[in-house]
Formats: sequence, structure tokens, C-alpha cells
Amino acid sequence: MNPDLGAFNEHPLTLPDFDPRRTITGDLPRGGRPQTDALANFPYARAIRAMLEQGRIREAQSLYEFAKDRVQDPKIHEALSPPRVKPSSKMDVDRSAEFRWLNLNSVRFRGRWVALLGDQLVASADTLKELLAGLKGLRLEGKPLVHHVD
Amino acid sequence: MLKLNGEVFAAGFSRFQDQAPGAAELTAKVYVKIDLNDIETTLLAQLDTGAAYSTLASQVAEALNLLDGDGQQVTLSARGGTYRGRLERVPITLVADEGEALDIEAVFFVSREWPGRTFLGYTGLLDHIRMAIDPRANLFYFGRLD
Repeated sequence: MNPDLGAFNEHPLTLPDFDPRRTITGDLPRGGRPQTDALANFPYARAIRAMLEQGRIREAQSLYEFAKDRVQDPKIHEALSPPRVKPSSKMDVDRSAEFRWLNLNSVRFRGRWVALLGDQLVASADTLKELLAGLKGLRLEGKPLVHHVD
Repeated sequence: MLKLNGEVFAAGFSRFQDQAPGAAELTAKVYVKIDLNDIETTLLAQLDTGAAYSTLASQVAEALNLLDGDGQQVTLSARGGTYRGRLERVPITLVADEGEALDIEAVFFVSREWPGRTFLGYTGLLDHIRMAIDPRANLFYFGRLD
């Protein structure tokens, strides 16, 4: 569902990071709203969502970094929090034979998905879904390299 | 293993392709091997340090049942147009020919509209690992930041 950006676009949000009324000592003039309240009440999630909707990714990331403790929306955390990286023991085999096969035979498979194991074509299909369905029925001695021939 | 000033810089490496196998494309790129754990296959993904997001080819996203997810909606502007899609966290593995592989759960842009390949983008993925390229031997070195 598309979020309603109408209100955001009509009343653009600006970060309350600077108050020109601040005195030289750093105090706000009498009657002025404390800046900390303004920062706390700023609708960060709404602003970040709108930036992402508009493709303003860098700005969304910067604002998220600034305000992540104040953003409650789990989707925004999922989208903008850093990746999780951990070591793994998954090794691959030498795929030279597969690449050789592709370089020799791709012309005949243009636009198709192929699954290769060594120099053997084990399956091909118009869609990846079909290819994977076909692979399920096969007993293979390794993990195939799957590739879409552009 | 790749060392820098006596310290381990990258604990694993894999051989990369500098042409998409079989493609008519003329310019060299870097295609590295990744495993998508949920579909038990090895695929090639293009490194793209200029990409705003990592992306999954739409058929790959479909095979992983990610096209109807509930991730954050976004718009991606790329050469060729503007695409509506979602950001989804996807576990992948940078498989190693030697040394230590890396399991990475990162955010990918997924969309039915996306006509492109699977890309590993800088922001949110490559900027969180160490990497180095040996263009003579076509080796892609990678490792954890810490």
C-alpha cells in the first residue's frame, strides 16, 4: 500500500537542528520552545519513509543514522540497519568448466536459464522457477551453477 | 588469505568472471559467485560500487518468494527508468574457493518491474566487508571488517 505523502509534500518537514533565535550563550530566548522537544517530536519515521519513497536514499540513511533511537517503525530498521556478516565454511568448487561451457554454448540458450555442473548442462528453462522445479527431481553430485544467458 | 602489513586483510577468495558468460556485452565487469541459501544454487552477481542498493534479478526474487513481502516500499532510479519495489533482507553467502566464506544478511531491492541483474551494491553490503581485486588472476578477496 502506498503511504499517503500528500500531507508531507504540502508541509515539508525540516529538521529543527538550528534555531536562529539562540543567543550567544546558547540559551533560547524567553518563551522559545526548547530545541530538545522539537528534536524529540520530529516525525523521523515519516520523513525517512517519504525520502525512501522519493528515491532520496542517502538523505534517508543520514537521517536514520541521526535518529535511529527515535524511530519505532521496524520496516525502517530492517531497511536501513547495517548487514549482518559472519564467517562461513561454505566452499565452492572450481567453475572453470561451467564457464567454458557457457562461452561455447550460450548462443543456443539466449534468454534462458541454465543449470550446469562441470561441463554438463543438467537443466534449462525459460524461467528460474521452472528450472528450480526441474532440478528438484534430479540427483546431483554437487550444487549447480545457475545462470541466465543474457 | 591476503595480508596487509602482516595482518590478515581478507580471509577468503573466489575466482571472478570479468565478462558475463555468454553475454554479448563488451565492457568488463566483476561477477562473483554467491550462494542463495534458500534455493540451494550458486549464481553470479555483479559488483556495483555505484549502486544505491543491492538488487535481485526479478526471477531470483520470485524464486525466493520475496516479491510479495512487506518490506519498506521504495523507488529506485536507475539507467532505463524508475522502479517501484521493496527493501527485503536476504541471506546470501560469498562462497570461497579457498579460505573463509562470508554469510551476509543484507538489504536488497526487489521488484517485479526490475529488468536488471543481481547486483551487490556498495551501500549496505560491500561497504561492510573488506575486499580486494587481483585483476591479473581474476581473484576476488573478501573478509570481515573486524
